[in-house]
Amino acid sequence: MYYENQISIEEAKTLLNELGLGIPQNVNYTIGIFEDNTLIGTGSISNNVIKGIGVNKEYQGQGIMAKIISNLLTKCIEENIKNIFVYTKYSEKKNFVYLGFKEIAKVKYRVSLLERAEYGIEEYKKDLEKRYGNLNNNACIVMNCNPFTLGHLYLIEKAAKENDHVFVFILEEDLSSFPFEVRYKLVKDNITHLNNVDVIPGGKYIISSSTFPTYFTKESEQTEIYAKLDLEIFLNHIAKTLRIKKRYVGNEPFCKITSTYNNEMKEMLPINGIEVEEIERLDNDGIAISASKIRKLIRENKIEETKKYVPLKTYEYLISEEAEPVIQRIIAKKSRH
Amino acid sequence: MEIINRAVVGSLESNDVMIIIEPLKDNLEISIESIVYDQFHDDIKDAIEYICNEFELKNAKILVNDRGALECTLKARMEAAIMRSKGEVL
Repeated sequence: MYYENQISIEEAKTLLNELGLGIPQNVNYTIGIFEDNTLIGTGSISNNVIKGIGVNKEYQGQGIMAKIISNLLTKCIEENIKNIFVYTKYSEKKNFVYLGFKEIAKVKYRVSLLERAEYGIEEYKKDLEKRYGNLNNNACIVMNCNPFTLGHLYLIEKAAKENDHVFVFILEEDLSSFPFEVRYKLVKDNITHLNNVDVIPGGKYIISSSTFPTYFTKESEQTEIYAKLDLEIFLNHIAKTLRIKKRYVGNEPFCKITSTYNNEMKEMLPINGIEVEEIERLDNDGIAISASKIRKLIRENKIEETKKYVPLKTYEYLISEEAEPVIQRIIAKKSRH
Repeated sequence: MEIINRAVVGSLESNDVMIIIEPLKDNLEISIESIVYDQFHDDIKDAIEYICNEFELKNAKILVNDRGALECTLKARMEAAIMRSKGEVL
């Protein structure tokens, strides 16, 4: 009656559009369920995330969703994926709960984000608690620092002055021009004069490709939903565990996705008892300092001009031999990251 | 015997059962979800344990998601899960 076959995401586009679902990006595997030659159901895996699951309305209620989920979950387990995430319609989430998935965030009645892992978010929180559980009156900043600029430094210094302790989370996803190791090191090297700041890798649960995929792709549709989910995780898991009372963020004049995210943050955090402070990026020559500006200068072969916008250790890195392959890649790339 | 690899068998379709088996130290953990849990969870557990005993499996984490499978199906899937986790093709 129905048969399954691996298909390309292109072939699933029409069905997904009909169902009002977004087209997943960076897909590694897509399954199609067919009746005769008609596609009636589909689901995809993008790295470790299951998404783009849908069944033609006329064929719903017949266990086709079960076929799709079985297939995708089996594939994930066979590929030995350690942390499997799934975005699903709120109404479908119980299908996954039965298979060992735990809900880590939701946008009520619309979307649920679930995770299946041996070392999942609970273990991550226990780890944070062990390391930082003794600190109170904490503020935090979440940044990419691609690369670390004077704007970033200003933000951290301000937070360090105004709070007992500051956690700086650095996005760990390696989809930015500067690799995570470099970005992380530059932050640590440039703040040695501050003794109440901890720099923490962002991990899977803070703006990662698992929890906020559109941050890293060109699509800005559905950014609001992903922003809400990421912020839910922040509120219910991270902020709670680390007793965070305030979050600082640099205002974002250049990037629509970041500004959407910041707006959601300003709506969601204060009603949950967390103060949000949006800071103007440090003005220099009347121009806002942003890492994208630095990358632009690099692309235009004007590295010397970055000197007035970045701290010394960052500039030393940019002109170093070690940085050459990274610089070359930036010059060649067209993406905003 | 020991579980080497994580393995998954079956599906969520009606009358089938999906079983995920994973390595675990020092314990045999069996978790059961079923659409007929209230009526049959004891019988489902018995069927799973029966196969575990047959294969002398003492250490493993077993997740069972049952969609109304008959005893023969439960046992067959469980056996397949064990064989797959040992790396044997089934």
